[in-house]
Amino acid sequence: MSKSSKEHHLAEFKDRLACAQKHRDTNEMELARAEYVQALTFAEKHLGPYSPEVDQACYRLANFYAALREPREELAVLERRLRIRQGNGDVTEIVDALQDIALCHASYDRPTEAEEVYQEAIALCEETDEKHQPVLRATLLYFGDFLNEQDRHANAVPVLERGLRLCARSKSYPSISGSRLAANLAVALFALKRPAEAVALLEQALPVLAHRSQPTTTITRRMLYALATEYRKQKRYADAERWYGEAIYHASLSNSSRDNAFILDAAADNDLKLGRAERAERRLQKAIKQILRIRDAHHEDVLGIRQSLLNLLIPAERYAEAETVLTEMVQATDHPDFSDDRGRERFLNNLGFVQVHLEEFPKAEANIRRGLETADEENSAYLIKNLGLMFQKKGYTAEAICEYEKALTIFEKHFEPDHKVAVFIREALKELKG
Amino acid sequence: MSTTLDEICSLLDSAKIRYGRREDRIRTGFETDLYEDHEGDNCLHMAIWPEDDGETLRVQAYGTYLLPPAQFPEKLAAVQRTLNQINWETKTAHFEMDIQDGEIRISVDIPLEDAKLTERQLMRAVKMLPDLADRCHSAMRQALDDGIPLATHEELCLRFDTFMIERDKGLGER
Repeated sequence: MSKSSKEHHLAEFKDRLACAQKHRDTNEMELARAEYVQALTFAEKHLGPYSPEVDQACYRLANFYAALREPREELAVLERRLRIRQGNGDVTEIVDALQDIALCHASYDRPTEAEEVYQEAIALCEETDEKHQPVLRATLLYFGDFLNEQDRHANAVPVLERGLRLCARSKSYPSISGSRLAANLAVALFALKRPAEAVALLEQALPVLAHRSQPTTTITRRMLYALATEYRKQKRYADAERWYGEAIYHASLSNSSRDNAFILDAAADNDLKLGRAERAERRLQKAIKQILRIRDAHHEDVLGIRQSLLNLLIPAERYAEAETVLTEMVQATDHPDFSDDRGRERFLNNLGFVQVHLEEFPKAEANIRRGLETADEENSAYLIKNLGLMFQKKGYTAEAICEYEKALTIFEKHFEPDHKVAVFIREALKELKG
Repeated sequence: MSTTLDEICSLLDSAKIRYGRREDRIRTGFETDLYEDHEGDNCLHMAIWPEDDGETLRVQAYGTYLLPPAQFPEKLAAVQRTLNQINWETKTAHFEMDIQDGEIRISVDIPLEDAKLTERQLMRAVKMLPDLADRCHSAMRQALDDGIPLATHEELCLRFDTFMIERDKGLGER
């Protein structure tokens, strides 16, 4: 083939790939498919069946099939790409292709096949060969991550440690690879209840990964959250705030509403420990907005964050605001998919409780009685106690005593004698009878 | 061409941005995720005005932070190093400090010369500041509160590398 003719073919091949990408970007998937397949056929015919262009077309097609979740087609082009690279005999290129095949198996829930391919890739590399080291480190990182995803944390530790050992023996330490391996190792160590080791690694690795010059990734975001939460557990609230701050910033960059909402929820809890109730409330309001972008109002994630907000409003005796939140929660439980009766009873009970304090007695009674319709004996204790509270607030002493006594009998049967609600009821009864 | 205060107001109206107009400046505020003003609110206060006969647009987050004068020199050095590092890593907008009263603010200047200011340009300038304030808030607080300067990525990598090499030796000795 003459030089100019090859250049012409290369240019046409590139045009076809660009055209396919353009269709993909505008969501014209069938047109994109046709262009990708034509690009592959063109490369086979004009540039050779083992050419780098066929390799490239296979890779782009694999990405395309992955986006459409077409596993058979995806695997076929990835295996073809592997065969091209095996023909060339460059180990780093072969390992790179094997990594993609392993990721493909893992993404279609074929863990046995994925593990076999990872093991094959690792076996091909020679640790002492400097050329192999970067690709071996990457394979160990992906394999470790895969094992963590499979909840095989004990298996992940030696794989990731091997990667870190390899980093330490490199001529110049590969900081980014090393910090990624360290962050993944921390995931495994947290799961294996070895938080001190995980924290020691994250304290060094996260500043590297979370630096403004680095792209935000799921592992960075989650480990920032994990480190902050560990500090919170250790009552190092100021340190926790710093890392929650980093986590919030990274979550805002990632557009991951779920991560963002959970981080804000945890940071709000930390704010309360720091005596920053106003900031906690702002963060919870934001968390609710975030989670409602991706979840329905009756989803447990939404209800959980709304509950965090209530835990702030009710102790602050901000009953009118609590009533608004609880009304939304109760309405959400009317959804046909919501099946947690205990949850609904708890929300109705809390709504009744705040309405008693707002002296909206008819509404309070209706909600408490609605809760009682489905409650079992144990859970009815709280509802009956609030019925007693309502009568007490209304000044109906006899009715209040009757309900309190009913509730106390249940509390004494199901809970410890010094349960705080039982103590409250005894005090109230003493006052009413006295 | 250049721009005027009236023109900026009409662009803000079109972008549905709430603002107040006082004398020769427009004042507005943007919600932030992390940055907190001196009252602890997640709000960055900004002023917008044309300069150089309208040939430059200036957007400024005034009073972003305050480092009261007569601080320990170490703290002043930490803050100035942090500001320098942030400016080194940032395009277009920058932090500046008035060493007389310790006011630290974020500014962006858009040179218009003979071009007409567009809504897109104005919005980019205005939204850049809360993003930058959020991005740098943790570093600024560490410098202002604890006198710890912002490290460069190279310094962080070096610390990490040293820690991991020592850790590896420790594991090898076990």
